[in-house]
This record gives sequence, structure tokens and C-alpha cells, in this order.
Amino acid sequence: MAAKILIIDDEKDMRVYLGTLFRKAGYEIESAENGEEGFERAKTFQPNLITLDVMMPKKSGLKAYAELRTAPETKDIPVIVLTGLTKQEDFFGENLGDLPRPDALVEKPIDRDGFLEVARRIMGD
Amino acid sequence: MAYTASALAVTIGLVLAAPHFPPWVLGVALAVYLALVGTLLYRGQRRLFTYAPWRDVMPCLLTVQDADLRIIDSNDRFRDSFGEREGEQCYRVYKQRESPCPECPVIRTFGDGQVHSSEETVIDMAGEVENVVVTSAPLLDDEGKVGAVVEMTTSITDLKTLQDELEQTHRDYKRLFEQVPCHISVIDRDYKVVECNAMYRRDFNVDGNSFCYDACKHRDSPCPKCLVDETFLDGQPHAREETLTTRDRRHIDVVVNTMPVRDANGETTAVVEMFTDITEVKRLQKQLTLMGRAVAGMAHRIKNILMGLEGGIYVVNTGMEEDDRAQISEGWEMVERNVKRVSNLVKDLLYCSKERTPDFHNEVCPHDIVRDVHELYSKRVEDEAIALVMELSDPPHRCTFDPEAIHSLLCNLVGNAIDGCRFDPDESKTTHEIALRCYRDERGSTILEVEDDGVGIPEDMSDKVFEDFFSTKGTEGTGVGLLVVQKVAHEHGGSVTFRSKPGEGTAFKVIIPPAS
Repeated sequence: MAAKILIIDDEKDMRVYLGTLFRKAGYEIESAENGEEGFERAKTFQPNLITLDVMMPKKSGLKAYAELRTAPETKDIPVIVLTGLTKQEDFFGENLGDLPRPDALVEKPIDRDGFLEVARRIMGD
Repeated sequence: MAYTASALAVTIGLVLAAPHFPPWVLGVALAVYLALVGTLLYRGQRRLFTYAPWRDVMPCLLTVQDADLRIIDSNDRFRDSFGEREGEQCYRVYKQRESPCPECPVIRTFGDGQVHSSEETVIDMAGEVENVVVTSAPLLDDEGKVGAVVEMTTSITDLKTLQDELEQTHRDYKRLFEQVPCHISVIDRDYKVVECNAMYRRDFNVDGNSFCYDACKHRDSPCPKCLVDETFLDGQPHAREETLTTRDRRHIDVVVNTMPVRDANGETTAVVEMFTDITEVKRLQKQLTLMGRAVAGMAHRIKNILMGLEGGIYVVNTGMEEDDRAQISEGWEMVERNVKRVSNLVKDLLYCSKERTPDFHNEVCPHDIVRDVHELYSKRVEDEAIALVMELSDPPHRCTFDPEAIHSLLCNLVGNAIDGCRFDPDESKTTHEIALRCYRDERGSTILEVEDDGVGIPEDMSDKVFEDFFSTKGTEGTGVGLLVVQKVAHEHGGSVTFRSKPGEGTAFKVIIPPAS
């Protein structure tokens, strides 16, 4: 059975791009366009990996990250955080408290092959 | 001379009278004559001898003159400079004049028996002109009358030269102090401005009793960490950057330099304070920083657009590989969307560039432009809970506009408003509204307003919106949008203002006066 990936991104271009990339690589895809929707989808879809954009309307990526990492249904799902910010500190600078750090932090624009590689490694493929 | 003449007259008289008088009478007469001559000579010698001991050691030119201003005695120094001139009138000797000098101190001493002095110019044997101070003092005879006058002449040529140089230096210093292109003042221990230059007087309110803190900062008390205080305390120069307020309430950035003014004992009696205006330097510095940030922001935006294009191409290629028309179409839309984003960004950058000249048209109806923008953006938000409402005054008016520029201005404001609504984190707001207004005020100015009830501008960023590469995340605005808005408004002789409250929304107002 194919591994499942949830893409949480407010930009349609990004959802379509990553969706095509992962689907072509053999994964099952779901996507959500904001943090709130993403959190709900994650609980039901139970993906093997979540890619999360950090700056989004409604709930910021940071807030969604905190929820995903706290809720028992989602806290063990690996998360790749996508950010337009160049420095990791810019993301962690905002108070993450005791929450564990993301499994990977990838800067936009992504390097397609490199990104796929990171995703595979995290899922143990 | 007088004595010789009288002695000769008496001798001749005695010889002629001798045959007619007995010898004892002649003897008595001769004795009386000799006694008289002896007494006169003694008196004369005594008078001359009163100054004789110090005549040649005096550090000046010394002459003794009679009532006719003839030189009857002189010292070695005088003779070295003017030669043997006894019997000649002083004015001939000193000035080669034919009559006494006006205000002659010797004449005045003969008149009142007092000491007098004056500054004169004399010409010596070598033809050199000398500045001298002349002092005259009386020589009294036994009856207390002025029998002769001693004239002492001291050269002050070197002193005079030094004095002239000093005066010239003082004038130069004064001119420099006045005209130097920075603010200079002298401050005393009570913070009073005791002296200041023209530029200081031009820019700051000063009268005879002004305090520096009032003049330069409009304060009621001395500034904390005052540099003048520090210099008074340690006698050392100090420097720091400060912001001052001019008499017309402008804020200027300056480098303040303080230096001590010391008295002969080395005590600091006042402090010189000098301001060098660096407002322009600061502005350029800020502009460079902003430009750096703008370039970084721009690079980021371009990177994102490139990723959109790359993604679009990837999706199109995948669709072609899998012969999936729906996917090809989806990928192609991505390409188109990102090409449009590049195009908008480039257009905005061109608006920001100085090279562009506005293309004004007469009889433009701003309502038409507002309708176009409304239609364009209504389509973009039709699937979202954002209502774009249009409020136009009736009847429509016409004015001189660059229609394309005004279109761009409105697109940027509406684009930003949409981003502000999309990124509103307030979950209690289920819908948002953006009002797009156009009307004419009582002065005939065209007012364009875009008001949203979105996220608002954070307070700490509100003073940067027009100067920074202001951009939260968003796909509608290009990031340089507000620079475009401001530039277009200025090109039309107008202005842009905004009010915003975080969490409640933002309203931008563009005022464009009727064309002159």
C-alpha cells in the first residue's frame, strides 16, 4: 500500500506542484489550504508525512504545527516545514516552547529531487 | 647761547664804562656779574644733571627740548637712529615737517606741566617708518616752571605688527566662526548660549538668555547625558550623534562635538559645541538599507514566482507524459498565473523607477477605472468570503489623470486589502468586506479610498509602509505596491494617507487635487 502524504499550503500552485511530484513518485496525496483544515484532515487521513507551509491565512503554520504536535492522533506524524524564510532561527525564534522541532525545514523554492529525497528518508522509504 | 650773549654784552659795557667810573665801582660790578653768571650756570647745570645719570640707559630714544621744540640734548640711542641733531626742531628731525605736529605732547607739557603721550609715526635716518609711543615729561626750574621737556620715544613697530596680525586673525576667526557651514555655539556652566554663529542663529531660537536645551531640543531642563556637562567635568572633547529640533520644528540628525575653552590656569570656563548636520547622510544610509532589504525581498518574490513557473512546467510535462489533459491545463494555468505575477512585478518596478514619465490624459473619468479594478478583483475573490463593494459619487466627474497609473495604484491597494483579509487570523470573522470608493471633495480633489476589515497593519510597521519593501505574505500584492501607490499619487500632485488598527482593518485614502 502506498505511503500517504498530506500537503498543507495556502497557495494552489504549491499544492498542485507538490501533489503532482508525490503522486508521480507513487504516494497517495491529500491536500488542505489552511492550518485548520489541515489539522482536521491529518486526524482522519493519518498520513505518513505532512508538508506544512509556515505562513498561511486563518491559522498560521506555526499554530497548526503546535496543534499537530500536541494532539495525540497526530503528534507522531513526521512534519516537513516549508518556509520562505532563509534562517531556521526565524522559524524557531517564535516561541515553540517544549515542542519537538520539525523533522525537516525546507526553504522555498524547493529543489525537486532534494525535497523528494528528504521526504523518502523521513518516511523510511 | 643766551648766557654767552649776555656775558658778552656786560663785558663790552664794562670796558666802555671803565674810564668814567672809579676802579672800586668797576670791581664791585664785576663781582656782582660773576656771581650772577655763576648762579645761573649752576642752576642750568643742576637742571640738566637731574636726568643725566639715566639718559643713556633709558631703553628708548630720549631728547630734551626747549620751548621752541629745539633739541638741546639727546641720548646715545637717539643719536644712533637720527644722528647729531642738537639745535634742530624735533618735528623736522622726526617727521621732516615744517611745523609742529598736531597734538604734540611736548607742547602740551609746556602748556600744563603734565606728562603726555601719543602714538606717532616717525622716519629714521635709514628712511624706515617706525610706529612709536611718545611720552613727554616736564623738567622744572627752581621756580617750579617748565624749563624744558624730556621726550621719550619708544618703538612699537613690532608690537603694532603683532597687534595688526592679532586683529586680522581675530577677524578671520570671527568670519570663520560665522560662516562655517555647521552650527557652533559657546555654552557656559549654566547651559546658556553665550555666543553662536550665523547658522546656529538661523536654525535655532536664541536670544541673549537662551539655554542650549531649549534652543536645540525645545526642552525645559538640561538633557540627560549632556555632552557639555561631560566636557565641563573632565575637560575633554566628546562626540555623539543626536537629533535636534530646529526653530521651525524640523528634526535634524547631527554629530555633536564638544571642546573645552580654558582660562590661563587651565580651568574649563566654557564649552564649544559644534553640530555637523548628517540628516542627508542618515537619509541616504536609510535608503541604502531599504534598498538592500528591497533587493532581498525582491529576490525572494522572484524565487517564489520562479518556483511557480517551474511547478507549472513540471505539471504540464507530467500531464503530457501521462496524456492527462486536465493536468496539462492545470499546469498551464500555473504558468500563466506566474507569468502574470512577473509581469505585475516588473510593471510596479517600472512605476517606482525615476525614468518613467506619466502619461496624462484629459477628461478621464476615475469611476471607469474604479469599475475596471472592481470587476478584475471581484472575479479573483468570488470563491472566497470576501465582498468587494464599490461606492461611487453621483454624478461622475472627469479630470486629468494618467489612467494606467491610477489603475495600477488601485490594483495595488485592492490587492493588499485582499491579502489583508485572507491573512486575517481572527477566526470570529467569517466574512470580510473591502470598500472601493471614489468621490470629489469640496475643493474639487478626487478622493480614492480602499478600506478593508482585515488583519490591519501592526503598529510597529505602520511608519514603514511607504518606505520599506513592505510585504507580508500574499499573492495579490507585488510587495512594492505601496511605493507605486505613493509615486503615482505624487506624480498627480496628490498624497496618500492611511489609518489602520491591528485586527480591525486598514483604510488607504488617496487625494488628488484638480490639475492646475
